[in-house]
Amino acid sequence: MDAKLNNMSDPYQKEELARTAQERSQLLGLLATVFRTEPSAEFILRLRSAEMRQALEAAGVSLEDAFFTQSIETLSERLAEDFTRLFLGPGHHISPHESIQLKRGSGILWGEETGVVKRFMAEAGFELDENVAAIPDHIFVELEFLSHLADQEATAIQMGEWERVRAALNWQHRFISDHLGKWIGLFAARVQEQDSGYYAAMAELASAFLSGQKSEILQRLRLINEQGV
Amino acid sequence: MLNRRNFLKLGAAAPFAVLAGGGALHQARALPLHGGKDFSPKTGKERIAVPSACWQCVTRCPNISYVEDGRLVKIEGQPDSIRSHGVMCAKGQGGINQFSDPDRILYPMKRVGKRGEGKWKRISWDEALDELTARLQKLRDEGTPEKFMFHYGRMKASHSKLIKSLFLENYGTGTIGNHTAICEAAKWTGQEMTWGGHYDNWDFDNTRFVLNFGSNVLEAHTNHIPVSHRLIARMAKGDIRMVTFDVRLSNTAAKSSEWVPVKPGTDRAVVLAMCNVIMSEDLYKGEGEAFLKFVRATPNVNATVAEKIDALKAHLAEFTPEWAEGISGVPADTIIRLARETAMAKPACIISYRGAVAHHHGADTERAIQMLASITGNVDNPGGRCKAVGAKWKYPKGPENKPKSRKLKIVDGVPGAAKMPTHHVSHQTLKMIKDGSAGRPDIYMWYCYTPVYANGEVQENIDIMKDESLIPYSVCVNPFYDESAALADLILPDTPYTERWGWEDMVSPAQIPEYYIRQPAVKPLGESRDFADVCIELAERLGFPLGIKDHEEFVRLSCEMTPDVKAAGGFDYMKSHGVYHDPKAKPKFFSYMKKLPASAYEKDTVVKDPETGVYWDWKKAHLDSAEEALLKGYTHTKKSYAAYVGQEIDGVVYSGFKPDKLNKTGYMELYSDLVSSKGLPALPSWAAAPEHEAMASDDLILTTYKVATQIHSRSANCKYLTEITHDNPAWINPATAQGRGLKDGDSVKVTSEFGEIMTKIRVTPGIVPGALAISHHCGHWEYGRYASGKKAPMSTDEPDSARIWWKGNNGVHPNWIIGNKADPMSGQLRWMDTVVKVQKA
Repeated sequence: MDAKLNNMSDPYQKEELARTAQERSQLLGLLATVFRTEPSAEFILRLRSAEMRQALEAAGVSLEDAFFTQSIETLSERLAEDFTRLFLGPGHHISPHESIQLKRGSGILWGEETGVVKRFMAEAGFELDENVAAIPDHIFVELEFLSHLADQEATAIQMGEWERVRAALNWQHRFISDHLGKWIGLFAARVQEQDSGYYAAMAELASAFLSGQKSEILQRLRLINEQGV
Repeated sequence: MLNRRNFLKLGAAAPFAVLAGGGALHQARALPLHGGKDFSPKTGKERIAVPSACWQCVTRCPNISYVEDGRLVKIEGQPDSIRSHGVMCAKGQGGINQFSDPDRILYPMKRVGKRGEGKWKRISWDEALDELTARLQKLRDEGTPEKFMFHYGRMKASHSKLIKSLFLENYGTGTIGNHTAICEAAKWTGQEMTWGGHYDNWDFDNTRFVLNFGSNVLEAHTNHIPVSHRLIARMAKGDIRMVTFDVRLSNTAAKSSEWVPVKPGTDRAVVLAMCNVIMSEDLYKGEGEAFLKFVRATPNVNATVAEKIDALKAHLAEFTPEWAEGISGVPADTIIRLARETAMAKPACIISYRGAVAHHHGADTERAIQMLASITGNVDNPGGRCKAVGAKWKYPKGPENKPKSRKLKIVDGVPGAAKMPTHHVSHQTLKMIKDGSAGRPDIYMWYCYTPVYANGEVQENIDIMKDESLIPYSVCVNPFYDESAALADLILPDTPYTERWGWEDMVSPAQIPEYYIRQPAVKPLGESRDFADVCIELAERLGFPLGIKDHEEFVRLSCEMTPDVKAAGGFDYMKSHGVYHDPKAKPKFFSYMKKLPASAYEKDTVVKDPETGVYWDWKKAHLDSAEEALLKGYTHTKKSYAAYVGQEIDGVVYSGFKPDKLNKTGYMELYSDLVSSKGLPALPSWAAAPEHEAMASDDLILTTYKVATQIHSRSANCKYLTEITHDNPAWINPATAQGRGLKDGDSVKVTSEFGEIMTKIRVTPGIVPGALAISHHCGHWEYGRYASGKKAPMSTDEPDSARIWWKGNNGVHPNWIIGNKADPMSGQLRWMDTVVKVQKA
């Protein structure tokens, strides 16, 4: 038996790979939730849990003290207003859609880029739930899409289905290269210009995390290929 | 500082719900190992064509909307339409921007700061409707449903039936405002006083000569493309002459055979003088004389044609061409020549619009134009000015027992503003709310309307709408954040027309009715909802279900209930074809000449009114007996016009000119008891606008106009349109400019009694001396990035914001300095009468 394959058969290494894929998926899921809607009380409570607070600090995500000290009602209300002001309008706002934010893009709602994103997701087997009132290139949908792909990657690793692992990684790499990675930086910068609290911190986190993902994915692909699985 | 190495700790600590079924995406099939097989760029795009209808302007042309990947990519005309023949104007094509406006409101919004401060919070539809229902329920429970005021701009056909006839009427409020007085109310009132129901179609297909008073028909008519493409076709053929009277060389005037510059507000003098020429030169003989049989021109309804001729000659004698020249600036020779040409053309189509009627006594100008059409025999005839023909839809009527509506008397203007406001005085509604003497609404809701921007006296509108002591609660129904939405307490995101159902019935220039529907090209974006659907839900919540599931069902049922449409194939046919007209139908002309069968008027409930010769159904007039009807008389019974059956003329009962909104006879009433009963001349006459008589030597008259690429106030968010038209320098004649030391491009201050605006001037001989023309559409300070031309502070480098090359140059809104003054007869806003001073800034 090939030595490399032996390595990958090492339950510890495989678990590690699957675990980190799952964690990537979960972080993307967290970010998708942040940008999907105003935070619920439950969501805020979870972010304020000792474990999350520690993890946030370790990751260098500096949320203002008020985030941890204000009453849930006050905080929810404030964040709901921030969410509306920043991402919904009415009036001037930072549209969280690829077609509007993409440099040299169409700049319009449901632009050509939106159709491309919709098709991309469909190619990967995904479609928007028809009961969800969202446009396919909304930042939360794009984050959630990547989260699903990373989850698929994790499951495939555990099952030892390496072709599927490669596919999941390739889809992620393509999506970040062609879509989310192209505009999340600009988007985050705009949010940071207009906010100094929770959303600025989360946008910065999302952008920084995504910016490292392409090399992370390539590294994983290289690793799998080196292992010859 | 972010610490990338620890990012995944967040993932580890955060098992959020997105993957546990709470996500927005679902997997329809297994992750493909390789991509690109199912959707190639060439075959993967599916383009579908959806027959639908426009809603940019009131013309509502049928269209075909093209959708690709769920994206609206193009709107074109509907080739099967008998009205538009597949032609679509720029405004209609630019409608795709209503769908894709990046500043669209996608969710219900509740104000959280001070009113007008711009602080909002998204709320759910449930929260929004809970709040609204509670307020509506309270008013209803307290027996004051009239304190819910509903004010609409564009609401037609099935939207009007669902929202007004079903929802509002079953709720019980009659405090319903419209916008017609800022459009063409004077024209409609003038028509209601003369030939009954309003709206005139212009039969360009069959005419030989078009005489135009103040209509910019090639750029901005209420039935724009359906008539303008016919007119252009005739012009291209070269067998038609058109003469346009206008203050300004509009594109319509420029395309005409002849442009006759006329001083603002003086068209009526010219028309009266033309009538004078025709009568004094006996040019009425022939069709005109024959038509006089159906005309009322004297107090005596039974007057002979000869007596009518004498009466008209006597009345018109003072309005000589020389007299009119002194008032209008139009040479007497020109008036005489064109009067003769109009009379001899046979047929001539005499048309008019706001240039002629949005003035002091504009309704009388329309009456005068009806007189000119009458004495030349150009009424409801092939090639003439015709009674409108539109589709007659049948539709579900909702609950049977409607409550008796209650209403606040605030929609007909300030007391004394208008003697016959048959289309209300919408521009003074806010003034009435401020005044408070007739009560104030607790809830002021507006729909497809821009009260702050569309009316005159903008600052006052803002002040009133901002004041919570005057308007305690305000609700805006709008897909966009305009100047009025910014002053709301609650915004309900309507869908643009690209995402709605509806049936439509606009007037057909072919005199053959066209049935057509609107269907959503795409699903509503975000949580936007057709307000008609919202009304259905509100009725349900308020405990009076309308018996309709949604607007789509309403359209479907209407298709099945309307005989012509049902025979054609009903809803399925309409969904696939979009339009229907009976291919065997003949154009409808001379409807007034129809002789009624005895069975129509020899009925127990029908009596003949001895005073007028009108047959009317006393039961329909809510009277108890024939005796009561005879005692009270047709003219003096409230709303007896609705009980009109026919008009006896020379012993024969004709269908005649059926009244609407006013108790007139079935004659074409050039002589009007209704008008004289209000203390005004019974026959069309002349009276100058008081302000114009009191002008100082350096005063000018400000007029307004519309361009071909924008509708009045709801299209500036369309980037294609606003890229074309975003600026509106004031037109001024070289002689007028020179007298003030002004040259082309100068910045000027324009001042009226209502305020001042700054703008630039365009010096052009295309406007009469003594006038200034500033178009509508421009100078928005809200309505999104394209309309306001503002850099969105948060999106300075968003690609489409960066492409707004006209930033900071989005024109000026003239309404800041135009008063909400009413035509004393109809209530029409006098757009073209404002006296201003112009100074170099």
